[in-house]
Amino acid sequence: MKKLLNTLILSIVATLALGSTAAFAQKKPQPSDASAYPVAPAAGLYQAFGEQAGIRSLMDDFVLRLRADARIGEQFKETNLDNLAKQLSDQLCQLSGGPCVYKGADMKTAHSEMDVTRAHFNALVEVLQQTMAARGIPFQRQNQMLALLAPMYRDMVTTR
Amino acid sequence: MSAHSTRLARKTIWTVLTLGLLGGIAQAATVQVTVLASDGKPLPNAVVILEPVDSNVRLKAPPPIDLVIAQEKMRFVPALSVVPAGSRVTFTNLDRWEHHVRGLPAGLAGLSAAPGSGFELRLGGKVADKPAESVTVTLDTTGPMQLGCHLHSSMRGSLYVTNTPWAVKTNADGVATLPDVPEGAARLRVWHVDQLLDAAPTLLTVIPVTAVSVETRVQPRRRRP
Repeated sequence: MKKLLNTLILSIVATLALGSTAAFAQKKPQPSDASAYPVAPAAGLYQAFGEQAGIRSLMDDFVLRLRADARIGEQFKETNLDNLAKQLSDQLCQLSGGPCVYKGADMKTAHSEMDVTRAHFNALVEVLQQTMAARGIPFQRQNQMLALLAPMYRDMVTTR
Repeated sequence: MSAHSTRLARKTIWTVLTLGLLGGIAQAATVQVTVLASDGKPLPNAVVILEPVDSNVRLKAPPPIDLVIAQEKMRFVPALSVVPAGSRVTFTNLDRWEHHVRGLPAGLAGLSAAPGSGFELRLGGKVADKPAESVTVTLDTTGPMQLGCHLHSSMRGSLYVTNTPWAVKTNADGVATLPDVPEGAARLRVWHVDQLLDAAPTLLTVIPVTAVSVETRVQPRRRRP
């Protein structure tokens, strides 16, 4: 009898959990350290970027291109590029619908001690586009990822 | 003037003279130093170090203290501390993300510092309702130290470890007040984290009330409010 009751409770809990997950997926994602301006990711975006491993190798390439860029390379002169690539990977993984949890600083605090201009921000977007194109990510998927990141300019641009 | 008050005045003079003689070599004075940046504006967070030229003046080393330097919103708080040698400094991470705090001798000394000198601390991010992670280090080597974070290169802080009571940091108005300084000739040095080289010391004569202004070639890195 007790076993039966336990099974019953378990199945109720499971049903509730599934129900709430489904309801949550339809809702707008909540603000987090990964993004203060959350946007629901396009379906299949995380998979289109090759999941965790694909995103990490994309970001490894991205940070090297940032450092080498004539317009913004100087901003990354002293940056710990390995840590930056890891944090970006967790962030993009989470925002694109992957299972990661970004544990770094929120975007406002992360950029508060840096002099970031609108030109820096635009240059970074261009470098990201080049990096994604170099890896053969379709243009539409590129834009779906950029749509998650673009609202953050408000927190990143500190010099106006 | 009555006879009584004359006597009192004489007595006072004698007392002052006697105290002066018993007091030894020199009277203690207060020295107020205003430090200026290269643009002529007051320079906060500079360290003013005064050394009496007379080598007979005994430096009384200040006792060690316990100090907390927080890592909060990508900053070291306070950004600069002057601490007596032997002091215990506790680094506490109040941010939700981890920091790898590094301490190295500041300036050129840091570039040539032997591997393994200074310290490196890994402090996990603060979890709500739990105490922040802390590590305490004891600082025995005198001189300036730069603080940084291995993960976040924009984080800068500094420590000035001293064995003299006359090393004081300038306040928001660029002013440092040094108490109980012996009268006579002294050398005044200024240290700032953004200086490129040590400037030559300023020579001054300490009298009971001394106020000096020191110009530097330092232009501090701008910090956001």
